[in-house]
Amino acid sequence: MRSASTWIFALAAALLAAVWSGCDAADPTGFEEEIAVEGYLEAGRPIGYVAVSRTLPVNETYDPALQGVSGADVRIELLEKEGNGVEASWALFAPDSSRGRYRTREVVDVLPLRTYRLVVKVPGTGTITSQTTVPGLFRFTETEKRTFTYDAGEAPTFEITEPVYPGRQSIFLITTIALEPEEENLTPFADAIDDDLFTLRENVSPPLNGENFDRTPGGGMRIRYPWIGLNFYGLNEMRIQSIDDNVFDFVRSNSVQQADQGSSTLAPGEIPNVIDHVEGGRGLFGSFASASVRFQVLPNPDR
Amino acid sequence: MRISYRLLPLFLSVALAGAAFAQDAARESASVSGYVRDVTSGETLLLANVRVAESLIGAASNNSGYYAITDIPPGAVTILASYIGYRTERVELELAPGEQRRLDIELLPEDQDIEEITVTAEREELYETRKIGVQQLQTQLIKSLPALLQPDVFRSLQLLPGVKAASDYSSGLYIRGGGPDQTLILLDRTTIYNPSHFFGVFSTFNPDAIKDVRLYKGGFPAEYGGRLGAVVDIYNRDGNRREFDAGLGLGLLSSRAILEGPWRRGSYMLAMRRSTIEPILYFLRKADIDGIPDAFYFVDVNGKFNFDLSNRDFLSLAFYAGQDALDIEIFDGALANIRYGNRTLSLNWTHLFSQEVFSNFTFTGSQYFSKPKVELAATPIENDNTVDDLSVKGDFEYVPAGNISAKAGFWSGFMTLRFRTEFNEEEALSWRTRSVYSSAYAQARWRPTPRMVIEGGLRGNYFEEGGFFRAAPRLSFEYEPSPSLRLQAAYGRYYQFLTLITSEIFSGFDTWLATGEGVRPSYGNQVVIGAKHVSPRGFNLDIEAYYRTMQDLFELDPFVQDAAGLDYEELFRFGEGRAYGLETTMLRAQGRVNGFVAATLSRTRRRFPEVNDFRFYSPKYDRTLDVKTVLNVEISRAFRASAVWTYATGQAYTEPLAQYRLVHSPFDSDWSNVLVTQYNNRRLPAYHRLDAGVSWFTRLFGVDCEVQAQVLNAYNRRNIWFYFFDFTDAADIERNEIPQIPVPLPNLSLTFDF
Repeated sequence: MRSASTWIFALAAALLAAVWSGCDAADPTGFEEEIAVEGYLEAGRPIGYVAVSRTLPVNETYDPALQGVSGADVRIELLEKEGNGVEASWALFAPDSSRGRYRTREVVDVLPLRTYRLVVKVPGTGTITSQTTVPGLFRFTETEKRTFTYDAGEAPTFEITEPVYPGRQSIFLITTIALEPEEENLTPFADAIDDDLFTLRENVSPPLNGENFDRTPGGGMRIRYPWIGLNFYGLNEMRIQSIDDNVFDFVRSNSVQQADQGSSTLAPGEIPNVIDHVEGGRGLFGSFASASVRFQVLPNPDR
Repeated sequence: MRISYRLLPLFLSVALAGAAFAQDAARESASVSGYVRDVTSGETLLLANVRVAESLIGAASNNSGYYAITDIPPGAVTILASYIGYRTERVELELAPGEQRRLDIELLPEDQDIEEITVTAEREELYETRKIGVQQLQTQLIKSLPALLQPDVFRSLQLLPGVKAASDYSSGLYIRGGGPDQTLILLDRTTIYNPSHFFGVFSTFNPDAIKDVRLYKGGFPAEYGGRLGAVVDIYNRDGNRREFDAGLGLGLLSSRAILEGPWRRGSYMLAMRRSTIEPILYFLRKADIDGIPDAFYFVDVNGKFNFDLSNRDFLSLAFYAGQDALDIEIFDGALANIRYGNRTLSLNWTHLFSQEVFSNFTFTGSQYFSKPKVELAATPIENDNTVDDLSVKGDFEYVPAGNISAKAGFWSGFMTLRFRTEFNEEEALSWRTRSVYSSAYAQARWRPTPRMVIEGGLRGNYFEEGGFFRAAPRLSFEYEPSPSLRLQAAYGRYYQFLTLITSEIFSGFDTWLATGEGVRPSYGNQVVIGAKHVSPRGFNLDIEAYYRTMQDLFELDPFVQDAAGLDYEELFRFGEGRAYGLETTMLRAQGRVNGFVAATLSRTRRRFPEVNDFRFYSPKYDRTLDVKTVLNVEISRAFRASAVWTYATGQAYTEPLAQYRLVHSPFDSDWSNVLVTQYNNRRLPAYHRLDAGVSWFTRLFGVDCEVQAQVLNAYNRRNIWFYFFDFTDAADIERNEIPQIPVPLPNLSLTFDF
């Protein structure tokens, strides 16, 4: 190859490289404010607060009081069992207008296995909607307080009635709440984590599929309690929440976003959005059914 | 596009019939065939050039070192045989009409004759290794390059154009837009399922034991299949057939040894490596530093035994066994015991039916295992993850007189993939896929004029799990307008029946999954065009452009956290991708100053539902421009220096745009902080790094010795691996930089050659 053509080639290649790499595929999109909603319906319990807020740029300090949206038109609708018609509707109001938290004026109990829709209208930003189907109720079959010794013999088991969720198996969050969160009650594992007692007081599992648990002859589910869930000896409460699709998708995607920046199958630095099922905005409008039981744990003198 | 499998036997018949016709037409010409070997060790040389002087007639030795040249005019001829790093051998012959001459050729390595280390007109390119999409890596180059801890095959492959590394800590191969699972890794014709040590930091292949490393980056022929993207074909050394030889390499963090020598009518080779970081761990433990492992090592052993039954039948038995281990008490109540590794065994029989018909049969066994055990707060968690793959393969080459030759073959096996998890002493998950797989191919090579080669082939693939049959056509074209220039093009359709669950950070838990109910095989098309130029001064200029598609990609859904009770297809997310690029390489393979400069402009895109509203995005390993420079300087007989400089525009990453908080969540507070993002919407700063090293060849204690001193990241560039966004207690979000190799990293090694 002649030297001139080599230089021409090299120059052309360098130019092409410069142009191409100059067009590196960075998305120029910047921050755009959106409305975030937050509401939870617990089966058999009254409808609680719905929070309406604005998103904030990442590089600013978040203050919930400042981000709350007042003056929104917030409504919760109970949809008909068949079809998408509205069977009942409740308007929510903000008792403290600066906080962006809304509630019903009356006490409205949430019906299990029914679908509710949240409708939020914020002047100037459009309508935000989200709907949830509430999981069926369930309960612990034995509610008297039991006592176990930490890591001694068989793991403790608890039995619940089988919850129902339309179209799929039940999915649970299991939370252990220490009722005696004293330093001297820390398990060796929790002590080594070196976190503060308030943080350690509640310990929640990732979403667990119902198929993980054995069925009992009576049609219930047997939950084998893992010691990894326990941070404190003494009196504890185990709360099991059967969650809807919205909570399930939010929690599983948020845990990838927050805790797994690099430890999931995604490459480190690849951060996904959460799956939120909110039309026209962000946030979580979900539902769950809950049951709880208390138990006592004694330290194992052999460990 | 689907092609009926009925075309396969038809194509094979036509190819072989054409070849037979051509044979009749050229019955009066002579032919020469045989093996090309290293004269000092008797090692066969793969893809060596053998040609008739003053003509365009020639061939390359195959994967067994065998060559066959037909259509040689009878009379006095000169045969030239050449190979990179060896002196060209000239053999004068007198051939009678119709004669079929067996001619085994032995080449002298250049380092046996230092006076000859100059570039001469006789040195030439290796024809086969300059086919489109193909690159060969010299073992000597692998050993001479500055390396993290020790010389590494995959780290060296990452320097080639079109091959990207995910990070300084990963030896995974990202080739032309494909992830590591899109590259088939073969060692002595046996599939390796997890080719990594130290959880991905470097690869399992011991450069001491390796003879040949070949990379098919794309557009590869029908004889290869099973992956969408690329093939790395590695062959172990046979062992020295002339004399006993031994080597010992001592490094700061790992050491290696090799034994080889003649054995009856054959040879043997045994190579072993082991990390040797135990003294460092001992001192760290003595210093009362927490979290120091009780055990942390890797070990591997390569072996090969060869036995010549006759001058037509050759047997070899090769094995590989490697394991990584980590035993660590992370803190009180948190224990981890991790074991993972590979074992392979292959029995190979090469048989020459005649000088025109070469055959090779291989029985292979490959096992990959990963068995991590963790105990957290008296809660045991155990995984048992294995791949067992038994197969038989056969390849036939038919090189009759005339301008057509043909290859055909089969590969059939039985694969079992198992993945079992126990949580708290209860089985939480148990998958098992058992599948027969089969493939057969036929390909023909037609040289309509002395300057033109057309190669076409068809590969049929069957995977029992799911009952999938797929046919994949391949076509390539090459034209030489002048002896120094080649124009090339290739097209291929590729299928893949497996997918890999892996992490860029930690490869020790790698898990393979297969197609099945509701999960169809991935497929893609590749188009490659290229031009290759050789200058009389020994400079080669290669330019290749490629475009490839990837359809029906199936990957483990990253949001699946509990697979209990899910249908098989619910484990996956399904998507598609495309990649295109332009690769340019200026190479000088020989001489006192040698090396290459490679530049790649490329784009890779993927899309999956639930990511960016199903719009295409750049995966992290996408880099627009890569420049890699490798320089070797032979300062004197005693000193060599090498340097590697890499530059790359930034990798894609996600810079969150917004945030919000859930303020009265009845669930864990860790889930209350939310980032709003566009996936991989930004680019990291450009990456660049210089590695340099010197080798001193001397004698210590009466033994030949090489002392290597190297430094990685010589000018202390702080490249960024990724950003981590952390919600602080003060309600801020901090962006933390996680660096690549953050400091200049020295390495010292000592290699004895007994």
